[in-house]
Amino acid sequence: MLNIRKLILSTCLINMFSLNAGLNDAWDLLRTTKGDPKYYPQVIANFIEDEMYFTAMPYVKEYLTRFKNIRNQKVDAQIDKIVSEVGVRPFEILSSNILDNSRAPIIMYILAKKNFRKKRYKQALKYLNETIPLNHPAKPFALMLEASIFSILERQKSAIASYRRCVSVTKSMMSDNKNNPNRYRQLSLNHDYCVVGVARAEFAAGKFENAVSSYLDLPKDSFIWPEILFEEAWNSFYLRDYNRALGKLVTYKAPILNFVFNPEIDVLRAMTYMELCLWEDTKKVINDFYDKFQSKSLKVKGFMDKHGKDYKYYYLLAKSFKAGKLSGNPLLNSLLRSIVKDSSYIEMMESFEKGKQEIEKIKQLSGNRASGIFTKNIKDSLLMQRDLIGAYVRKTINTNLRHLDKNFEGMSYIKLEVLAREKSQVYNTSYDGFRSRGDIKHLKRNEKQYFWDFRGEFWADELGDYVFSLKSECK
Amino acid sequence: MKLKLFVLLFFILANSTFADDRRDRLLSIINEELSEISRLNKQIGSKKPDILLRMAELYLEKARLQRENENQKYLRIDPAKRVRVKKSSYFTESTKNFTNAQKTCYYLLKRFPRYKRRGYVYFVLAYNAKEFQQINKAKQFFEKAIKTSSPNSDINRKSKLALAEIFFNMYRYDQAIPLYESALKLKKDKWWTKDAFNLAWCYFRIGKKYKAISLMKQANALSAEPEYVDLRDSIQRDLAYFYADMGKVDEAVGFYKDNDRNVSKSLLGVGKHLMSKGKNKEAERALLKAFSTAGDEQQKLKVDETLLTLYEDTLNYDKHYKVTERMFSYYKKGMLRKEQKENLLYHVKKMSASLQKQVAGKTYARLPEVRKRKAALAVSYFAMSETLIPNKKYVAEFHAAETNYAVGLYDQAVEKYDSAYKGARAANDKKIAGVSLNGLLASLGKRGISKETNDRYLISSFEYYLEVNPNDKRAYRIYQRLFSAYLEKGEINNAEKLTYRFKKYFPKDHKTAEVMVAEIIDHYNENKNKAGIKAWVGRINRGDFKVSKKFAEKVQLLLLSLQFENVQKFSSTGDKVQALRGYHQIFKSKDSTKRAQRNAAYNIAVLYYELGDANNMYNWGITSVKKMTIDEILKFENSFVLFGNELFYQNETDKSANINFISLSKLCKTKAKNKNSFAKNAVVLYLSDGKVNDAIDVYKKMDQCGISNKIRREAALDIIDELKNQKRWDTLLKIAKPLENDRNAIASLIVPYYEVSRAYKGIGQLSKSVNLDKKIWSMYQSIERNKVELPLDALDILVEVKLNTLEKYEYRLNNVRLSFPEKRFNQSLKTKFKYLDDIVSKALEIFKMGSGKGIVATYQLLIRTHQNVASEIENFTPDKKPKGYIASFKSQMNSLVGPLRQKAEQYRQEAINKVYKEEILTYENYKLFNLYNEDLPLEFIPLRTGILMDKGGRR
Repeated sequence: MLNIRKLILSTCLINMFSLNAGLNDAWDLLRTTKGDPKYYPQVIANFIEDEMYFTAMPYVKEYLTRFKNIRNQKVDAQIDKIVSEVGVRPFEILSSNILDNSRAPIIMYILAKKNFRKKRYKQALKYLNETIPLNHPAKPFALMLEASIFSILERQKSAIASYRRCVSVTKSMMSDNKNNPNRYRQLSLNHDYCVVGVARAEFAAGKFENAVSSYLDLPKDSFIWPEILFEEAWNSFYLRDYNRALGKLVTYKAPILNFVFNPEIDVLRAMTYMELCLWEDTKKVINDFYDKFQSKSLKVKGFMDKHGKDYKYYYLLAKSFKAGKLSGNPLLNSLLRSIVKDSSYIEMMESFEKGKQEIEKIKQLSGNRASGIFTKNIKDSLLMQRDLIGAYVRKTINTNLRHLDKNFEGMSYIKLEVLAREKSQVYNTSYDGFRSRGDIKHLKRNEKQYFWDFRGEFWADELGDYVFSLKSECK
Repeated sequence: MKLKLFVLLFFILANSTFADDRRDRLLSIINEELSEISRLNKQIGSKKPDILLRMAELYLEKARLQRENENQKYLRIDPAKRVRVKKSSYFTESTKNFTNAQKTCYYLLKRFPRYKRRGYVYFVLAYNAKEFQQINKAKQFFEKAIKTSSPNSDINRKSKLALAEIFFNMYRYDQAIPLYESALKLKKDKWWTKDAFNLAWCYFRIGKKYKAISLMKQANALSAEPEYVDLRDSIQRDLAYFYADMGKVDEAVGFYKDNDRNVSKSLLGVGKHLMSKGKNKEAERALLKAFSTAGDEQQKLKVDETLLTLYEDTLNYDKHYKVTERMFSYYKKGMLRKEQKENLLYHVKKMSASLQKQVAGKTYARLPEVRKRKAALAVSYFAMSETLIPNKKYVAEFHAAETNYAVGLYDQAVEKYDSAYKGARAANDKKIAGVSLNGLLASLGKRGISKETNDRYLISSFEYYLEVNPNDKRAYRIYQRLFSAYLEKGEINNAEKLTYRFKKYFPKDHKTAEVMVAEIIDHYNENKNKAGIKAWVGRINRGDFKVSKKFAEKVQLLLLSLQFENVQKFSSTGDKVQALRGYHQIFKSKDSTKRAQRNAAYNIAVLYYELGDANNMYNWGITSVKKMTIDEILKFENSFVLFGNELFYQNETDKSANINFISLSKLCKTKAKNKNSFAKNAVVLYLSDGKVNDAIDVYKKMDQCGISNKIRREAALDIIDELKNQKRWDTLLKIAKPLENDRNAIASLIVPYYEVSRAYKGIGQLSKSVNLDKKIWSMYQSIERNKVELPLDALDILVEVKLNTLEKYEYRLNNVRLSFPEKRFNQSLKTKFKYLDDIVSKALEIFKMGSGKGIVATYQLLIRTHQNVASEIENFTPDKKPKGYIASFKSQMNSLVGPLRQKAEQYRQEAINKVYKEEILTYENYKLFNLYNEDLPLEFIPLRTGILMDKGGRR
């Protein structure tokens, strides 16, 4: 009987071998080594061979957990490869102690990122300092992170230098990855962020005029241009070019940009009107803002409270939204629209899809015990990935709601400021109504009259270039 | 983005007045701010104290604006109405917001005890407390605000100023000064001039006058600059006041000149200000200088107006009058503007009223000369008033009249009152007309009034009064006074007309009217105007005037005295025939009054009585008694008694009865002393003539006339007796019926009732007879109970009735026949003995009645019945019985017969004893003694013969 069983087993293995050699080898190895972790690098190598990155992920994590001070270039390469494929997020959730066992450049990047999030900027820089080779796939992202830290530390020159290096490194790496669209897209995004990073650093340094030209380095077809337009508006605001700021902000009314969810656009618009002493316009923007968001935001908060940390729900929510299912709350739809357009979300979903493909491969090992174990492992990984996506969706919504709250607060301050200035005028001048303020046309204009050359249509090449022609009513 | 907190407190302090629309606009903005700040506070969970502070400031700001608004509304209410309204209800909104501000501050301090801007919070609380008039609390909070804020901060400075202002208002200048000084040192904002102005006053108040002047000058200079509040008007005014107070008016003049100000105008301002501070002497000095430096008439007028106010306030009447006269002359020249005219009028009115009040009051009561001077001044003011308000001239005249009246200038008062009255009537001002007339009448009633004034105004004023008030209390007196005035003037026609008017409006006051009529008649009498008298007598007789009896009598007498004058002379001289003739003429004369006729008839009757002519006396007596009034008859009732007696004596019973009855009828309701005699005589006299019906009429009248019960009872019994004789049973019973309950009469009714009963029985009306018998027994029992004495004939009748009953028993006894068989015999015997027992018991009842006749008759019946029963038993022999049986039977019966006979004998002995003992004397007595029914051998022979009465009387 035993012989027959061996025969059957070997037949199966033979049958499988032809399709998933790496998997089979991995299984054999696991079986023969009785699952000893020290053989995991070989096992992982077999998975990588079959491009089974999600399947390999648990073994990588376990290896990192089991062994300290891993100084093995091969293992480092394996980790780099796997993280690059599944994304950094599944590893970010590991504690720094575990991650610190490795010196893999990607792990260094992850550790730097973790410290960055904890506002330990110097520690983050330490992890980035000369730990990631120039040609390493994570290098563009590491440079981006480094520049950002410099900027936060108000070391704008260093920041600008890092952004510029980032631009150049990313650009060269993009040319190497033209055949890998996902990778290319990631690099492209990184490139654009580093481009605007220069402008941002200049802005932060108070060099608004320089920032204007630096922002122009970002092409309008960039994925991130819509959000950067807002920053340009701020820059114009600081340049006291209020009509330009309003022109940039009005661009968001173009249907093509309706996916952008940024309540601060309205805040900036209100502030700009206020600076022009156009009290009624300011109040109108604020009141419209309250009308638009206040009750809806409470409902979304209620919705979030109701679903708590049910990550699966949020994952499904975003997924179904993308598939075309709208929620009843326009604000939630807006938030979901911005999330599903978000590069991080797209990246995570792509990883998740890849993981699902790996399951398909494993299914071909049906009847095999290895199939059951691998499937279970990968499912665990995928479930975690799914929860990560859900958590991302939830976090993004919550973050936006917090921003919204901040913006409500901001709007209140603006309105109070406007009212205080209005009152100041009544107290300090003999009140004769507002009709004495001059040109009647400033009183009667409507929104369409705001624009110098805007005729109610948005032309792609004109987006972001509108300029208002309002006169300040400040005395 | 961070909020730049606005320091709103600046605004709170900055302006105290706003135009309504401006305030509304501000309130609208503040409401928006409050709404927004509340939203923000909620959004951030009340975590930011700055937001709470802002909220508190907004509440305070809103409350202050609302309070201004509410205050305006409150002040717009009519003052009379405002006293009644609940003030707090007008300030609910602002109070609510002040409270909100306070609550917010307290909450802030509790939640953020170390809040770095606590000074602002205390400042808000302080202002809040100030609004609620909690000055001490406000002070404490301002002090805390100063303590908890940076010394150089704005809030510190403002708190110091606010606290300084509190001290300033509390006159605590020493405490206010360092605060002002410290705050004014820090910063020169637009309100610096105002605070410096206050500080200067503080200096002035504590005596640092030069320092005060110096600071005022500084504030004056800064006021000229646009960035400061311009207080030059106040500063220059007060600076001049400072100078004036220091006795340096010339320096004030110099200061005005230096500042290019109109000196007179400025001094006028200084004068006004000094007045407002009660510095009247200095004010007068400044104003007089202002008058002397005035460039034109209008300026002089302005100064005069202020001088008027000053003299009004200082009660300087003489100076006030001089200035008033000056202004009045301007008025006559047409130089016064409308408001100046109004002002002049105000002063004229005020001073005239004030002076008038003083004149009328007690203050100068003992200073007649002062009073007169003040009165003259008041009258002068009133004279101006007459010109100033021509359509109300009569009002001023009235007041002038009142003033004159008050100081006893009645002649002048009358003249003004008269004029005022005419003016008020023409203007249809009833009130002034009324009071003027009152004054006029009161003045005319005063002693000091001259004859000339009196003659000129008295009658007309009375007529004024009566024209308007013809029937009030005062009119009542005025009619009389006016009547006298007319009579005094000999205007008899007016007096007569007035009497008619009086009668019309006071129809019930006959007395006064009578007096008036009397005076008129007197007037005619004195003037020998008989036609006039006759006319008034005619009016009285027609009832045009109701006069008292006495007066009527007087008037009548006046006429009677004319008519009877001669006849009375005949009567008094004994010439009765002439007198009779005269009275007959008076009686027949158509001109005679009824009274005269009555008098004449009576006198004729008396004269015939005296002449012994009964027939004529009766006729004239009847005539006079019929015509005379009750009182007259009452007066002469004795005469009528005499007439009745005289007629009776002359055997004219019927006439006598008539005159008695008529007299009774006339005097029926009076308390005439002869009323009972008239009644009794009439009944007796009628009955004596058999005129029972007339007697019954008199009897019926007796009850109405209150004749005594005794006389009425006697009359009734007399009438019953006569009716019994006339066998008028029904009438008898009717008359007797009321007496059935009269214990003093019922005994007398027994016999007549018995008679009636017999009569009814006789004609077969047995039931009526039985009823009467029952009534008789009932009356008997009542008599018994009341122990009333019963007449003997009545008792005999009662006994006879009883005996009739007893005889019925005897009859039944006799009807029981003895016969055999033995059983029947025994039964019959038993029945007989029962009847015997009944007879004995009934006999005892008769004995109790105490009638001798009854006792004798009853004993006879007892003896008879017992003897008869004994004989019947003894004589009975049963038929067809053997002898032995018969013997035995007889023997047994003898044992019954013996006792029966003994009993009969016993009764006889008892009866004899009674007859003797009780001296019973009846026709039946003999039967007791005649045992064997033989004729009585004895005969009663009277012992003495009758005695003849000697009619000769005593010799």
